[in-house]
Amino acid sequence: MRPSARFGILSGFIAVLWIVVVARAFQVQVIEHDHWESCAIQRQGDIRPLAANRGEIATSDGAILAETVSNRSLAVDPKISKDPEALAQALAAHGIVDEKVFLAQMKKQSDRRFVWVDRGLVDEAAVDELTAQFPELIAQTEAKRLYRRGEAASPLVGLVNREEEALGGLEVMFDQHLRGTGGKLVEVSDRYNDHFQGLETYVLEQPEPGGDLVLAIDSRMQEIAYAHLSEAMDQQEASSGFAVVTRPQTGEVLALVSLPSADPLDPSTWAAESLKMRAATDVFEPGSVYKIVPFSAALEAGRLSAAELIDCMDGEREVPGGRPIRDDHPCAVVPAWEVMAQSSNIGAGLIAERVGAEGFYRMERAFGFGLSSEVGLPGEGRGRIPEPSAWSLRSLVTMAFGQEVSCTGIQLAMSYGAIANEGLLMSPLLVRELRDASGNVMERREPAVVRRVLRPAVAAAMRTILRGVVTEGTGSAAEVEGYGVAGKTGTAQKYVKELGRYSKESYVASFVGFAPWDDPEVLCVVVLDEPRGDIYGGSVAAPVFRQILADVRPLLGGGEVLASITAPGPDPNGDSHRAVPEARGLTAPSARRVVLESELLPRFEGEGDRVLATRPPAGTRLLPGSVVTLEMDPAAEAGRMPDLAGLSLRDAWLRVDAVGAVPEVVGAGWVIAQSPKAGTLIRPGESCRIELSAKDCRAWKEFQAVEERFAGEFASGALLRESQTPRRVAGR
Amino acid sequence: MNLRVYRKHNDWALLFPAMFLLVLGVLAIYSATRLATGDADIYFERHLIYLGMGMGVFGVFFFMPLRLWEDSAYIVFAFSLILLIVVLFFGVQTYGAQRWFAVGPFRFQPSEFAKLALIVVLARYISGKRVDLSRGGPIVLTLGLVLLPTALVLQQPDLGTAGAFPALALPMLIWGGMPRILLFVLVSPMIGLMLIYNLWLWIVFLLVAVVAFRVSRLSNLLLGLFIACQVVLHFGAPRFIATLHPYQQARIQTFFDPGSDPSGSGWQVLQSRIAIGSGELFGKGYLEGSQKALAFLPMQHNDFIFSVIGEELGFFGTVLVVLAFVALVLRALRLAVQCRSAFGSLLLVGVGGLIFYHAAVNMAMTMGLFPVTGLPLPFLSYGGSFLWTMLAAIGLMGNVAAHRYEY
Repeated sequence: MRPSARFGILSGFIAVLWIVVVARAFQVQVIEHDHWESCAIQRQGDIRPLAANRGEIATSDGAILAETVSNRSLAVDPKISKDPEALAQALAAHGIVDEKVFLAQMKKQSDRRFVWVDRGLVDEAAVDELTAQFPELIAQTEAKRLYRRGEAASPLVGLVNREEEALGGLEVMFDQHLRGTGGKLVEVSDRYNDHFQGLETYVLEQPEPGGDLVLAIDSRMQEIAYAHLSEAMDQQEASSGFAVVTRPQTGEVLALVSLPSADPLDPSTWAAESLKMRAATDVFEPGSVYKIVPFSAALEAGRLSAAELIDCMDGEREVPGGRPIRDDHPCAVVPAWEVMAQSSNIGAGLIAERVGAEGFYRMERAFGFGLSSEVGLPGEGRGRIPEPSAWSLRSLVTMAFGQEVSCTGIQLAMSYGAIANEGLLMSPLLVRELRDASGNVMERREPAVVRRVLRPAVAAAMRTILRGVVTEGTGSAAEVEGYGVAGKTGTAQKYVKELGRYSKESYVASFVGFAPWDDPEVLCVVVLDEPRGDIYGGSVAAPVFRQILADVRPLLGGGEVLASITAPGPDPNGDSHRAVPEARGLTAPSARRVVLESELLPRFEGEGDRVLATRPPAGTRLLPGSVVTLEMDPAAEAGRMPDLAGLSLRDAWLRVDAVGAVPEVVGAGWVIAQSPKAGTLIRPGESCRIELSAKDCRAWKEFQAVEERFAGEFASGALLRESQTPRRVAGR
Repeated sequence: MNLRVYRKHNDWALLFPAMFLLVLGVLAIYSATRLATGDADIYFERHLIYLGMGMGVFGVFFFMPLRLWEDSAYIVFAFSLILLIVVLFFGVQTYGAQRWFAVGPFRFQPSEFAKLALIVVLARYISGKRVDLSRGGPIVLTLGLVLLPTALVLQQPDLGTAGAFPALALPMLIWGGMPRILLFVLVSPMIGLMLIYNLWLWIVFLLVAVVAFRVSRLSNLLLGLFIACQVVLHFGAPRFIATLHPYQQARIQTFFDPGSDPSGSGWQVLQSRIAIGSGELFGKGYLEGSQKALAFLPMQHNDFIFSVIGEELGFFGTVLVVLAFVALVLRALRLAVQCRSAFGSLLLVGVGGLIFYHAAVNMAMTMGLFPVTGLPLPFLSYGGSFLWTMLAAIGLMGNVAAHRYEY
């Protein structure tokens, strides 16, 4: 055999074998790649569920009521810790633990594989630095749901607990939309698998983040309504209450507050009672605010004119089947509008009798009572509006002043909205937009007319009559100077089932109204349940209404704010960190507020009235939702009593609270006297006395001047003539 | 020693692929010793030390006059056999086999030395003037020379290394002029045994046999006899194995069918295939291999270094390694054709066969084509006596190449 032939054989042999090897490599590496890749993933790690980022709930003014941020927490695997002393020092240097305590803990639990160092931490950079330095540290990222408006919005927005279950509010109603789709995470472990948390993690399947909601709510108005309502709740010791603010022309719900409300930071307050949006869930007998039904029905039927005289029987009328009906303000013969102004039950009953049961019932239904308003909140009530066939002999008369029927706060807001809106009943518009995770609008909800309830002329007459309630009658405390409020007070006795009669102690105080009365731009419902002491809607609910409207008024720019806001969500290019605010020296509530305003979570430590120091110190940059510890100073220095003269109760209260004193309030209205005097030293916890009066101050005098002017107009009858003619084309 | 010859005729085409593989090996071992836990082991530094010392070994074999080898061939061979016998009694046991001599921190595997010794003695014998490999006497003698170290290494037992002796002898016998069909018949029982659990490859093998017999113009009777023997072997062996003790069966089963034993060697191959397979076209990137980083690869700095390359450099890296070996071995054969001395020419073929055998078996093993045999990958695997053997081998080839125009 020649050398070249031998060379040929051997090289051919070599070539064949190498082709086999390369072919095999191609098979394994290219053709079967996916199979081996998935094998690798299975073997190298545990596949864990990866929660999708829950969507945001934003308001029309661009504020974010609920969002999810990732929160890092730190644990340690003591068993693989090589140098616990160094670790303790490093952790202590970052202010995370106390060195000695931590070391003792490490010694005690040296056999364990997982010990929490701190949950709900912490500075992102510190975590990264520490975990890089100490492999025994286990950093976990937990999604944390942040509710920036706290108790002000919790019954509306609802909550999500640690298990990602929605509790109440919009979180429940839009759970599917907000939740998104979960992904998969691989936690890598090596062959020996002796690290607690795996060596590293990577995402196998990206979760699909949930979509966002944009509400018609205006966060500022929400805060305003909450502040005034909660203050009144405390003052009146009411058991619960709610406030609704709407834009009557569109049905947009601008604020929706319910009390008591849950504190999103404190799970012990997350009772169902505190997560109910009472304006939607609670049905109650409306009382006198329901008098719009007989008046509207009679005016619409042409059986009443506003100036017509009604004999109110001097405040007592015998009605078959029970006790006589009495008026709190007995009237003799008065014009129809004064029946409303003085809230005469007898007069309302007489007017209802003019249209009869069918006419009355039709008007009730037309206003939307007895049907769900479909505002889109969990557990919304419908109220009970019995059919005439089920009525007793006195039903028509008592229903005329809001007994034997029940309704929700939203229904009241919408029915008064129809009067404000030229007789058109609007559907409540709470959610404006559903957006996907990248901010694209998936669904946009527009204002919707439910039906025409009243002719525009009747609606205008009703507005005039309701204006009279404020200028001449029981609703005087609701007037906002120069704004022209119209509305109706309600003081409903609560029906006690056990006794089979109406209670003499328990009342529901309410005020429903809108302003300006001749061209309404805002509507508000205030209801306080079981106030102690003062019980009347005119003195309990109307002042709250006035406070809310006075503060809301400057915010009503008209037009749509919504169009101007950009997609909610953090600015991808911007710095998402927040600086810890300077809170030293502030009282606990003020400190809580400034910390929350910085989108951080306050955590109080120690007893005391004032903040001694914050941890981390002011100026430290943290991720939104990080916890800031506020060390309270038990030995706060004495402050000086502020000058409260002429202030409203709310303003006075805040000032007194700011120095740590406990106010004792006498009277209502504006401050006329205080003790101790302004400038006196006062210790935290010491009490001080504030006297208020609604009579002797400047504001009251201005108020009276307006009232006199309108009284003159009423006397001349000019208003009533005007109300007979349609002023405006309906249905804009 | 005439340095001018080296300047004039040194063959870089032979040395370059080896150098490339050595550098790739250093990089791969560096990667293989970097784990996700951050614990770096000592193998990388040790490998560098072995490599440095191995350069001395290379120098010795590169410059030592070939005449010395030719003259002392039988003494060297006898010495290697003695070492193989002694290691059976005084060796250190690792991985269930008695393979090593331990002197202080150093370990020496006499079978490595025996491979070179067999190449030298076969080259010496076959290049003898009156040796005709188509005749009975020389054939028996040659087979005896090959079977002696093979049998001794099988005693350790180390099947993979034992296989190296026939594997390097085979191309030398072809080069020496043994009839091809005879070679084929000689190796066929071994191939038949290896294929008892792989019916399709076995049928392919039979078809190859038919073609070989036809080309050699042997009678159909002989072909029928051959096929009958193969059939008996193929279907008889499993039945014979079935009569053995279960643990013996398990060993054989694992040897021929690694997938059947997922926690032993089958597990190793599976992990290796996962690593290589997840590499795809261009790999996960140097130092990025996750199977490697998580220590799932068995002996990843050593026998399974190819898996690390496959995972981190992908199919591209695999082909690169294969091409380097092909270039090296084909160059050795080319030089063997050019070489004017028969002894030198046979040395080139033998050493080429040795390298080829190790490389092919190792790669086939890591990709699940071949049982796990514990054979390292030349130039790439972690150092030790095998690295020195390979450096000696390349030195020897370089030596012959430089002197290829001398008789």
